[in-house]
Amino acid sequence: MAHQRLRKFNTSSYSGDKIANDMCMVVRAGNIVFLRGQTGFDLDNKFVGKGDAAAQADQAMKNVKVLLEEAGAKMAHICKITTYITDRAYREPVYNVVGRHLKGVFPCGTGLIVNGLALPEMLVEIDIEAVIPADEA
Amino acid sequence: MPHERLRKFNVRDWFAQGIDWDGAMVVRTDDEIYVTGQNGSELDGSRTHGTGRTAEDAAIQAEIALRNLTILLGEAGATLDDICRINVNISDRAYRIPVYRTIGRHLRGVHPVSTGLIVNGFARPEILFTLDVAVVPQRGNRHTRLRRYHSDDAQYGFERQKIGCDFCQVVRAGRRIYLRGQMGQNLDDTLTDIGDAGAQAAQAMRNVEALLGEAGAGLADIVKLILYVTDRAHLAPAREAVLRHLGTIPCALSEIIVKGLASPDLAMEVDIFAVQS
Repeated sequence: MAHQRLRKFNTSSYSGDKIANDMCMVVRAGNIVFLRGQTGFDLDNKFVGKGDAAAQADQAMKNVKVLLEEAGAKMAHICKITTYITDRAYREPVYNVVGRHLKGVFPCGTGLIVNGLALPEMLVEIDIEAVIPADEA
Repeated sequence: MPHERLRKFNVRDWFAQGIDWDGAMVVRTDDEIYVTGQNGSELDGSRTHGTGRTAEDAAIQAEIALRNLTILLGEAGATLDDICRINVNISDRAYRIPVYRTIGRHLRGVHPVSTGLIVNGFARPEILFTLDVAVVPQRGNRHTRLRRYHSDDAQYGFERQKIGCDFCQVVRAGRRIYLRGQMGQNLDDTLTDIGDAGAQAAQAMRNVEALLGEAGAGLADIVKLILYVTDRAHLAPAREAVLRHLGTIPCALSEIIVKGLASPDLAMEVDIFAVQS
């Protein structure tokens, strides 16, 4: 079966890229769900939480929930989360927000402090991989 | 059946961190094993080894990480031989050789694909490196590992590096396909267009297409990409080159600016997630 590619969009809307090829927010390949790295941009492309890493993380995790559900998955199916932050000072506020959204899920995690994300105002980005168990697919 | 989640923890119980975050060291699904990024800390969070922030300390931390990984995979019914991809993240280029040589000793003969980043830091300042792995247990059928090579015979940018690892360019594990992080070097290890992130990304995507083809897949099987660049100025040209090559295949893209890659000559690297449809 072809992969399902949901919420297609193109980057020219925010990046000034000279090409306007579509990307998408979520891909479901069989039972595996892959998300675009989520940030303080809500799903209507409005930026939330300028200068506030915790607010950006909260928006990112709200997006994760919506996107997983649109792909037929749920938060309890998350297997791996990679959290990118641009300053160590953001770790505690960001992780507490993410931890609230993931209470009781117990995913594997990796956290990296990086030089930057797609736009300078992005302070946190969250990568998610989820798998829908065979008997829930 | 819900996934099995082994060695559950909460971050607030470790190293006096004020973080309420439920995690697990391992998540086992029907087909795959996910693992929390491993570093030089004990699995029970009791202590971190090699806290002196030297290259020797980085090697000590890598030794602990590989020991932990061996234990965790064993508990999940797998072995190091089931590893498909490793992501090696270090916080200083000086740690590269000691960390990789340690990994290479433990993974002798496994030939995973590999991506290596230099980043600014990890969960705590004393952590010098983190190892991520993608693991698919082999049940009778061995994973297909194509274009195997030894790191010391390979080119990293314009350099050779004695990092002592058995790697390969593509792993096929069931329907999942893992590629080595692709850069501006062609598959014969020639780096062209130095400094131009767009040209490097275009070469990387030509490699991606060729490697997917050799594994019996194609660009339409790509689901996600993580694009790493070493400077914000590289982001737009690299992204444009990647998207242009993907054409009409919409994928989930993450974009990260890192401190460095395998060699200072490299401006970009792309990790590909592909599932044969």
